Amino acid sequence: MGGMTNYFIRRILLTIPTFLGITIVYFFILQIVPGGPLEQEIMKLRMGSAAFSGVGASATGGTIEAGAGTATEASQVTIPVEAMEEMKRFYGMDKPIPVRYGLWLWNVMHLDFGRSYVYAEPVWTVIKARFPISVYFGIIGFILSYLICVPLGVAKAVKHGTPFDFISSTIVFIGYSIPGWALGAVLLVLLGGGSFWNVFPLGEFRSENWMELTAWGKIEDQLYHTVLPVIAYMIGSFATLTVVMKNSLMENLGQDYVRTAFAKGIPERRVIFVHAMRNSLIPIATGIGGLLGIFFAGSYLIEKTFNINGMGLLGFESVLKRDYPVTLGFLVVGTLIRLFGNIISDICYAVIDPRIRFK
Amino acid sequence: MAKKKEIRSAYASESLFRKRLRRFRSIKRGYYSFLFIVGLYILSFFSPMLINYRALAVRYEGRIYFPALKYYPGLKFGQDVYGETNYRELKRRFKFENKGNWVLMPLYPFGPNESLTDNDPLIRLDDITDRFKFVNYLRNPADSLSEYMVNQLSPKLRADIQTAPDYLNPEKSLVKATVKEMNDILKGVSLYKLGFASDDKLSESALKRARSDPMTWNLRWLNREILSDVWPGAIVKNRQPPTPPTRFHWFGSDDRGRDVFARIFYGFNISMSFALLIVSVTYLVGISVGAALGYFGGKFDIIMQRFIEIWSSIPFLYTVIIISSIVQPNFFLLVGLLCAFGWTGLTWYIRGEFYREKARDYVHAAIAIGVNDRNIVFKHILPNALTPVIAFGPFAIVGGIASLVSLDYLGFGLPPPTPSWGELVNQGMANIFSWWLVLCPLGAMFVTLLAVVFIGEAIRQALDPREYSRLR
Repeated sequence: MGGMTNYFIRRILLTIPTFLGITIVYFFILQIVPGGPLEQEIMKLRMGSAAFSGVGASATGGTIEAGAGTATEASQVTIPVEAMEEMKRFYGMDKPIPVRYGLWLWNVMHLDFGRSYVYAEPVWTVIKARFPISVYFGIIGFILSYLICVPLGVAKAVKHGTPFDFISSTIVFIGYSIPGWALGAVLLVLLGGGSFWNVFPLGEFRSENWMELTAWGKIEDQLYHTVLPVIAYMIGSFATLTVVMKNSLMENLGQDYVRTAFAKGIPERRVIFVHAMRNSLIPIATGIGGLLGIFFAGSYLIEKTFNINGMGLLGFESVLKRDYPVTLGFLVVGTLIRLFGNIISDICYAVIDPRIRFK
Repeated sequence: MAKKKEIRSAYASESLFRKRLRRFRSIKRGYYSFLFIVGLYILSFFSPMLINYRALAVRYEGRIYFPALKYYPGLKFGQDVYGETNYRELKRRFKFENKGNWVLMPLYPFGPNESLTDNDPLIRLDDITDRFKFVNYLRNPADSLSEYMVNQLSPKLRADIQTAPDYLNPEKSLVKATVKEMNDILKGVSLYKLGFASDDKLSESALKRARSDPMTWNLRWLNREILSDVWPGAIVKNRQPPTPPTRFHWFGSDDRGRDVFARIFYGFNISMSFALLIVSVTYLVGISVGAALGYFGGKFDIIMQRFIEIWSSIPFLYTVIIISSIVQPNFFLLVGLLCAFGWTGLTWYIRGEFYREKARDYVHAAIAIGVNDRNIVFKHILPNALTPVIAFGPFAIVGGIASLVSLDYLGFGLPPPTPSWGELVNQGMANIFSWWLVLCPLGAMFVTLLAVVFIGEAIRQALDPREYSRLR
C-alpha cells in the first residue's frame, strides 16, 4: 500500500495550493468589486446627514426615502478625514490588497475569522449557529436517500422491464427533471394552504408558538415543518442514486461469476444479496465522502423557498450584504469540507475496491 | 441500374451512424420527445406572429397596414387614445361599424410585456366586496358602514338578499341577486355599449351568443365605466393583478398584469436558446482543451490540471450572484458567465478519455504507420471519446435550463422585463394564493425537461452497444 499512501499524502498536500488559489481569487474579487462595505457605510452616512440637513425638525433619520430625493445634497456632504481614516482602518482598506490577504490568512491559520460586519459577532459564532439546522436536514436527507434509493435500485434491477420498473422510472425521471426547490415550490402551493389543500405549514423551521407546545406537540410541529423541505432536498439525489444502484447491479448480474453462482444452484436471493450486491455497492459507497458535507448542507434555493434560516441562506445573504468576513469564512469552511470530502471518497473507493490503484 | 442499386443496398453494411439513428428512432418515447421539442423550439421563433398584442394586418380605408412591423399611433386609425393603437379594441370597433375595415390578430392576441390592467379591466361580479359588506351590515348593524354605501344598494337588491333562502351564505345569495338585478337592467341596453361587437339589444339569446364570441368580453367581465354608466349606483372593483386563468388568458396574469401564457411561451424560446448556447460553447471549449491536454500531456498538462482544479472548485452559483449584483447581466453576458464556469467538467472527462485511448493499441498502430497527429485525434480517438459525451448532451441542456430558472428565481438572472420562468415562480412564491404563477411555469419547465430527459435516455440507449442481460 506504499504507493497508495504516497498518493493520498500527495493529494492532501496538494489541497494547500488549491485552497490558497481559491481564496486568493475570491479575496481579490471581493476587494475590487464596487459596492463593498466601506462604500456602503459612506452611502449610509451621506444619506443620513442629507436627511438631517434637508428635513430639519421632522427629520426621519437615515431613511432612504428621505435621502434619495436629496441626492445632490448627499454628494456634497463631506465626511471628516479622520472618520474616513477610522473607517478605512476598520475595514482594513488602508493597506494594499496583498497585505490585506496576508493578514487575513494569518488570522485564519489561527482559526480567527474576524467579526461579521452585519452581526458584530465572531464569524465562527454566526456560522456555528446555523449548524444544527444544516446537520438536521443533512442527516435526514442523507439517511433517507440511502434508505430509499438502495432497495429501490435493487428492485428495479431485479424487475427490469416490468411495469414496476417503468413506473418507478417515470418517478425517477420526474425527480431528475425538476430541481428540488421547484418541487418544493409546487408542494408548497398545493399542500401549504392557499388555493388547495392545507396539510403542511408554509415554511420556516418551527412554528412561532413552538415553545408553548407540549413535548409531543413540539415533535409533531417539527416533523410537519420538516417533510416538505426534506422531499425537496432528496429529490435530486434520489434520481441519480437509484439509477446508479440499478445500473451497477445490472452490470454485475451480467457477469460470469453470477452465472456460475446460478449454475451451482445457489438460490436467487443469496446470489443477489450476498454475491452481486457487494460489488454493486462500490459506486454507492463512494458517496460516503459526501457525508462530510452534511455539516454544510443547505441549498440557498430550497432555503429561500421554505424560509429556513440555514447555512445556504447565510452564505448568500452574506454576499448580498457585503459581509466579507462571513463570506470568506463560509468559503474557507466550505472549500475545505469539499476538498477533504473528495479525498475521503477516493480513500473509500480504494479501500472497498481492491482493483483500484492510484498512481 | 435500379437493380444494381438494390443489390448494393442489400449487401452494403449500415454505417455505425445509420445504425444508431435507426435505434434512436425505434425508441418511441425519445423520438417523439425529440420531434416535440424541436418542433416547439422552431415554432417559438415565430412567436411574434403567433402571440402578440399587435395586429398582423389592418385594412383601414382601403389601405393595408402591418402593425407588427411598424408602430402606428391610435389616432391613425381613428381611435381616441394617445400612444399605440389598441388593436383588440380596434377589431371590435371595425366589426361593429361594418365599413369594410378589418383587423387580423395573431392566434393569441396578448403580448408578454403588455400590462393588461390598462387595457382590459377584469371585473368579476363576485368580487363586489363592498356589496358583501352590505349584507353583513344588514345582518349585524353593529358593523360600521357608511349610510351612504348602504343607500347605494337598490331597494330591490336589498329586498332580494334579505328574502333569499340561503341568506346564511350571504356571498352566494348576494351574487345571485346581483346577477339577476344586473340582467334585468341590462336587457334592452345596446350590446355595443356593453363591450360587444354587435348592435343588438341585449336579450337572452343575445346574451348566449355574446358569451360564445371569443374576441369580445364575457358578460361577467365588464368594463367598469360602461357598467357604472348603465347601472347607476353600482360599486364594482377592478380585480387586482395577478388574476387567475380565464377563457381568454389561459394562464392568468402575473403581478404586473401581464399575460402569463405569452410570457411562458416567449420564455421557452429564451430558456432553450440559453441552454443550447451554453452546451455548444462548453462542449467546443471542453473538447478542444481536453483533447489537447490528454493527447499532448507534459508540463502544459500538469499546470492546466492545477488551474482546472482550482477553477472548478469555485462555487459557481456564488460567484454568478456576486457578479450579477454588481453588473446587471444581459443574455449574452449570462451565457458567457455560465460557460466560463461550466467548461471544466467536460475538459476533465475528455482529457481522461484521451489519456486512456492514447495508450491503446490501435493508436500505437496508427502512430507506427505514420498517421499524423491531426488525423489520429480527429479520425481515431475523437469518435470513441465523444460517444458518452454525446449521450450526456441532453442532460447538460437540462442543467442549463435549470440554472437559468434558478438564477431568475433568485433575481440574479436576466434583467426585467425579459419573460422568464424563474421570475414568474418568484412572483408566485410572494403571492402564494396565485397558484397559477407557480404551477404554470414549473409545469412548462417540467414538460420541457422531461422531454429532454427522454431524448437523453433514448440517445444513451441508442449509442450503447451492449444489451443488459436479463436475470432469467
